[in-house]
Amino acid sequence: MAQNLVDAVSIGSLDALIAIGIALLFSIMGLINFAHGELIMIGGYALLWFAGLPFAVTAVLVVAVVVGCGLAMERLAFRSVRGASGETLLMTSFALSLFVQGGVLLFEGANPKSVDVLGSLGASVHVAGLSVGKLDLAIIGVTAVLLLGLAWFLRATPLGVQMRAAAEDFRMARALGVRANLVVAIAFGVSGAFAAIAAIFLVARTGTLTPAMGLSPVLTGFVAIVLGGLGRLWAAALGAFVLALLSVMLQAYLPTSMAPYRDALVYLGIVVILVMRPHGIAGRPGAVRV
Amino acid sequence: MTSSSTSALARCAPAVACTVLVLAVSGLAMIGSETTQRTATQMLVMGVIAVGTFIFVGNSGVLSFGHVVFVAVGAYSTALTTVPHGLRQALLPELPSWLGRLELGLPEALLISGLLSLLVGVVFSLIILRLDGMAAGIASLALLISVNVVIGNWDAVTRGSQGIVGIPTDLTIGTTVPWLIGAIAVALAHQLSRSGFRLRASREDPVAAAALGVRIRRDRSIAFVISAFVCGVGGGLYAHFLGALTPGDVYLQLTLLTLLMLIVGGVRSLSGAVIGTLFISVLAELLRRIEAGGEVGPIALAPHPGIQQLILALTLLLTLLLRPGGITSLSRGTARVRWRVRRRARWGVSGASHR
Repeated sequence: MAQNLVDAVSIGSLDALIAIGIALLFSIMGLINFAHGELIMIGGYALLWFAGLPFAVTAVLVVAVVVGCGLAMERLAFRSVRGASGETLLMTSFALSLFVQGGVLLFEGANPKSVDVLGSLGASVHVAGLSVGKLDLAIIGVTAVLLLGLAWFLRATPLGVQMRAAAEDFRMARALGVRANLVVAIAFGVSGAFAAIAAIFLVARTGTLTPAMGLSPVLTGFVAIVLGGLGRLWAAALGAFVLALLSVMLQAYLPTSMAPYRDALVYLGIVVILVMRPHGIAGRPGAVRV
Repeated sequence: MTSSSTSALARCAPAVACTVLVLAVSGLAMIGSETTQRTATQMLVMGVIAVGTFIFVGNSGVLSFGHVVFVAVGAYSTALTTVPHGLRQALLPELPSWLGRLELGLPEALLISGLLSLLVGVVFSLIILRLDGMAAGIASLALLISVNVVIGNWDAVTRGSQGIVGIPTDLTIGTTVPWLIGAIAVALAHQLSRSGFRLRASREDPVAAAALGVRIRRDRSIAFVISAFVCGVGGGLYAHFLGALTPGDVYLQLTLLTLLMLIVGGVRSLSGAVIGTLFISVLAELLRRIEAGGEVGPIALAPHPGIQQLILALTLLLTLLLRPGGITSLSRGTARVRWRVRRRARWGVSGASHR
């Protein structure tokens, strides 16, 4: 039981990193960014390109590359459709995601590549009869620091306050002097940084890279956001932890004959939650147009 | 009386033009090579699926990522009823004996598949249509994933990830055309019906439509189940086109292709759905050949995996950015102006700061 809990917290932390990256853009501009998965994928390949350098240098370069790609996406694609309907934004990000995937497929090929990140973190430490991977501890620790850092940024810095204002009511915020382009660009930058760090941990855990690897994390991220509540950042993190707990517990306690259907049950659960509470567990009605 | 019948005729015109276009393209393809004929058959099958999806998405304006579920239901039920029963009992020994013995001709199998999809559509409409906009999109995607997981693991009926093989590949242009024309006719009949008209009114302005007494959810449900039926038939044709069916064939890639056809063609009109299908089918086939490499005329090409996805995604992206109404929207200028005005209204920005 306790072991399952530790697993759930570790998985939930990684999911939360991804979910927050998506939720940030959703709360400010109503964009559900499918291409977030491709930012994670680019982060993975960037790890491969910069392998061999000291880890700290690699990490900084990976974050820089992914943030750059996020900003480029904003400038080239999303700025032109800013303010269009939610469906148009969703389709644009879907198209962008497949475009980037096709590009990486063209240059890197479809075959999975393997890369070893943070090899020394593969070991486990034993605490009170539990075996906890060092990687899990690193994921939990870094996620906690990043979430607290983001909370501080949004509360205490002028830019953070502008972002919160924009998330509340973009038009009113603009009228009061919030610079839209700057705020949106910063949001894409922060979202990219979260994607890069999630990519490092994801690849450290699985060790493989494919051009399609972004899909599954981004779906998990969506589900977490929907589950937690649309339009609130901390709700996205909450959703990620609830989802991880649900997955781990179903994995552990579902009869073996049902085990293959676990994901089907999880996604059906999402549909049920959406129908019962269209605004998620902790969402507030009226926060977004759903 | 006279004027209303003239306007009904006028409203039929685009669908008639589409039918003529489909017939012309199919006729031309029939004198082409075997590859051309196969491409044309695929185009016709995709046309049924695209028109089926259009009936709901185009008329209601609600995005659905879930219509491939109906394609999947249709494809699997057609496969299960048309694979020769000796082979079927060898492939799927755990199948209930009545289903193991059943062997239908293609038309009967397609109609039964359509009806099964319709039933699934009724269940889904009770769920999805309680939601709107973004939540509906996400819920339909979640349903697609759930159904795909079930198909991928239900070994007794679907043979899991190994898929069903030995489906008769008896489709030709001649046997597929009537189904596409039938789909266009169903779509047209729905558009001309009161329910279809009310649904389009609710797409343009839900609040005003509701105020005028339109029960939006009921009209959406009607379009949804008709759409599910047509997609189910399309799925059956798709199974007979492929000959072997795996869960991956009826998943995200097919979803993308369908939405691509609708959006590039122009999601709001039936002719958009048909023209989008023609355009994307030809483009996808050209790109597939480039991707595979080899000799194209005098030029030798290296294989380029990914180029099809790259260019198709770019097509969709450019359509969304430059021509949100699709290639069939007549006045590009007007559409753009309207779009800018709307954007300005929502964001309170001046047009000058934007480009």
